[in-house]
Amino acid sequence: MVFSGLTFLLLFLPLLLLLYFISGSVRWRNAVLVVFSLIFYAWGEPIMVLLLIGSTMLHALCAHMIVRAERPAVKKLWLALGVAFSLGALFWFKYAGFLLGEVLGLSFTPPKLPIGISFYTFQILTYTIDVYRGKVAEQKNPFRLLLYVSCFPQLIAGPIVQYADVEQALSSRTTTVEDFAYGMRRFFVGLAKKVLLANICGKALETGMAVTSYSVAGAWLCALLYTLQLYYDFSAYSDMAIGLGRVLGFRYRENFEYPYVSLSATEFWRRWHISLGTFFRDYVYIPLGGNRKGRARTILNLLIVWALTGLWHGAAWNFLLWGLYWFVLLIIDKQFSRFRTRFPKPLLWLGTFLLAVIGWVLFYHTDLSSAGIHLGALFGVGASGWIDTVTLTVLKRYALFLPIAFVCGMPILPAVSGFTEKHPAAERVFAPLSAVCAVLLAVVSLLFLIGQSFNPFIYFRF
Amino acid sequence: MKHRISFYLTYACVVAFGVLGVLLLALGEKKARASDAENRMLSGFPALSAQSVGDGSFMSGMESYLSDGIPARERVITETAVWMNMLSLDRTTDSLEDPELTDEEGTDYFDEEDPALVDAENPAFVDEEGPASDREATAEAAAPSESPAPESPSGEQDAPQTEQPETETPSPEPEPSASAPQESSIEACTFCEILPDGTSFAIKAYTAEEMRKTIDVINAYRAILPEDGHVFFIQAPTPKIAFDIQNGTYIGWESDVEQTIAENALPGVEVFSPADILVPHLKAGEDLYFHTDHHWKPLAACYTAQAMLGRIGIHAMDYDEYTYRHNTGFYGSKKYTHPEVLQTMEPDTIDVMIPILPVKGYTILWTGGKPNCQFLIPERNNYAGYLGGQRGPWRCYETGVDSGRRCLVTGDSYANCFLPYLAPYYEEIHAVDFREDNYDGEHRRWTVRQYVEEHEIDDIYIVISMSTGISHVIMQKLMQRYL
Repeated sequence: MVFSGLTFLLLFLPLLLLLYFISGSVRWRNAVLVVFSLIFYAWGEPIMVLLLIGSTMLHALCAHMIVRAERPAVKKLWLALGVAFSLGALFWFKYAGFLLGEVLGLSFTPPKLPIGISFYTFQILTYTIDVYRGKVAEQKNPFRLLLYVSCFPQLIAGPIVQYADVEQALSSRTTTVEDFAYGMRRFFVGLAKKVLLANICGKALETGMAVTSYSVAGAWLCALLYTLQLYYDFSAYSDMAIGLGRVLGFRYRENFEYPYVSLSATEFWRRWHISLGTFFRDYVYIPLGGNRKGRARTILNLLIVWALTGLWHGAAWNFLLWGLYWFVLLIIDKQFSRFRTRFPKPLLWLGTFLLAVIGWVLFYHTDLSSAGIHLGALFGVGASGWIDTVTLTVLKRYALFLPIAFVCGMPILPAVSGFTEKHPAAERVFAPLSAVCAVLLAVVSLLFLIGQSFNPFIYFRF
Repeated sequence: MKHRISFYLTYACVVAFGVLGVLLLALGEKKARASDAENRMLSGFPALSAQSVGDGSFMSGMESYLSDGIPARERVITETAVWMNMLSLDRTTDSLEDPELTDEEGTDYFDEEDPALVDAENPAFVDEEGPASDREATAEAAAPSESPAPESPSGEQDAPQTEQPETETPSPEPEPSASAPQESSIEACTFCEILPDGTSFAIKAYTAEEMRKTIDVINAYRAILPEDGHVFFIQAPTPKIAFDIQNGTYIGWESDVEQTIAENALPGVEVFSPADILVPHLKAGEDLYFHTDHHWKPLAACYTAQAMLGRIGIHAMDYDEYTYRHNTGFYGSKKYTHPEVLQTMEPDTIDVMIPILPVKGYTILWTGGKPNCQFLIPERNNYAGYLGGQRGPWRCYETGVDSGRRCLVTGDSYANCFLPYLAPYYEEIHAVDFREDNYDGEHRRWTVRQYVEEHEIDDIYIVISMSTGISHVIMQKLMQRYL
């Protein structure tokens, strides 16, 4: 099920909220939430829900045995079992086809990828690893652990919620009127980002890509459209997840902080898919030694992290290259960070933005030859000219939409919020006004959804 | 207080959504029904069974049911399209005023060719036939010729005397290595109408690059078939072009498109000239196209099927050997683009064949589900009578014929009317329409190669109208992409 589907908006969500809030105690609310979360996941892929439940139960057992074991070697063994099972399942479903087919050249039909496996695998790993580290206590109630893993707002496409962040909320949480209002507003804004920005960018992109060969302008336009589509699509899901989490009493960390205003590659990754970056930092980079073991080792650690970051997005060479592309940019960024102050900010912003756009070209094309053609066309190599009729058509058709879509990616709302916080009179107007706008956006989004058919989130495939 | 207002507003919105959902479930139309405006079947309530839940077809069916059941759906779609149009500088009138696309008398070619392009207020058809730019590019390349062309009964033997558009630089995209023809042998092609004075008028021009890609695609499709398999290809003219023959504006067609494809195609590829098949019948005054719609009639489709089957030694049944239900009062897509036709034109009669043997049709989902889909619906009085107006997903029609052969039909909506005439000769007919908006992410998990192999397809029919055309993204990109 997807947040931007009518089944979710018209049936699932109202029914869930009704049952959730008439359930008085946290215990009953958890029960409602687990049942609805499993239905949410099973909607479309009923069989795969068994893998989710089985994986959770195995980790519950591993964590229990880690706590019970006295010898460190035994603790490590149970940790290894849990990690091996989850990563093994992830490898089998996601990477076996790539390794056997692409790398080894064997004939192999890859299994169907369970939706959201990359996200929930990492989530459950944070639990077992943190129990092993003694950072969190064992969750003795396996249904609460199942709720943590399967909780539908973040189940399929993140953010990757670490167990420590929601440990308390699993046993005790409340939803205030303010939480509900904020959460639903956030959800509606996310819905609008998905339906009114991401989907329309996607539609424009599909038209723009319908060329036999790229012109220079066409190549840039397509790259820019994908840049916007990907951001709005993914950040919309995160907004909706964070909003729904808030309504249900959970507080998830932010996953996006307006990444396209970044002035450097390092800053970009502090603002883009924050939960993934945090996971790799806490569970890969730092355990590998981080930057504490000398320069060469730091570079090696970064190389490993970025290769894994690339491959986490998909089992294909382009994702690996995309990860390595960012590795190189980040290394350069670190080496030359001291010179950054010499450049004017607009130039830094433009450079960072263009580098991100170029990176998304690698990300978009799952076959390298297409990526190469597109990248070449960006700089005139193999391009069919400066501009073509398809590009002109897209520019004309989306003439006013494109600037709006671009501006919406800028931190305007935080600026307004900052202003109203300093001026109580303005806040009295802004708070209800923002709710009216959010509701209007929800209604308009619903109207647009009626004419759209299948509109999955891009990050579902990861 | 400020939070309370916010709370009540958002709460009311959720409640309203819930009420709408409950009303749709309780009062919504449970049966599938045709939409005249969208030229397709609207979804009914999905069948609830262990199998449909297990394979996910119930869930996807529910989404379609809710979407199709929204009250005033057509109005909502229209309004949202208008809102989108407000953010665009691309106005309907831009297309209508394009002198390249109107004849001397100002009659616009879009009338029958592609209502999508002129119909911003009828979003059901928006982008149905692809981006307007394809048409613009073609129109730019098309130009009346000064040099006369000899009249030809078939309209295709002689190369057209029109000015050829410049060949574009070759695309850097990779080509299917096994099937790539010699690039040097392929030149730009045109489809021309011949004026009574012998002058030819190019109404469609295809660059060498477009021709090369088309040939590559056709060859690539041939390469995935068994040795004795065939790929049949036709690009059918649109009503305006056909009516030009009948009203004497033009006396024939000539095209080097088919010849170029045939010369560069692999063995087993059969290319058909619409001039050979249809012009004699048009000159005989037969009614091959709807007047109020942008499609051909089943009679034209039947002639085409006969020609194609005849090429492999099958003497196909004549049109009159089938039984039809004649439905009167059919106003097609033109009523949306030019509502005045309701007053100024007589409605068409639509003939829907009554199948000789019962045909079982179903959509093939990658999850393994097989929800039913329509074959012929004799009671329909619009183009959705053919295959229920189905587009997009992989479909299979089991004909009950024990011929040992299976075929795949792909193309645009012209194929819907054509496909039933293959029924007596194939035990299974599969169909797919790759056009954007129809063939979405749910269905892309199958490649054509996998599908052909899995379903043991022997022959492939590619039937497209000239409004989609070989310069359209369907031939230029999608068919290759999904291979």
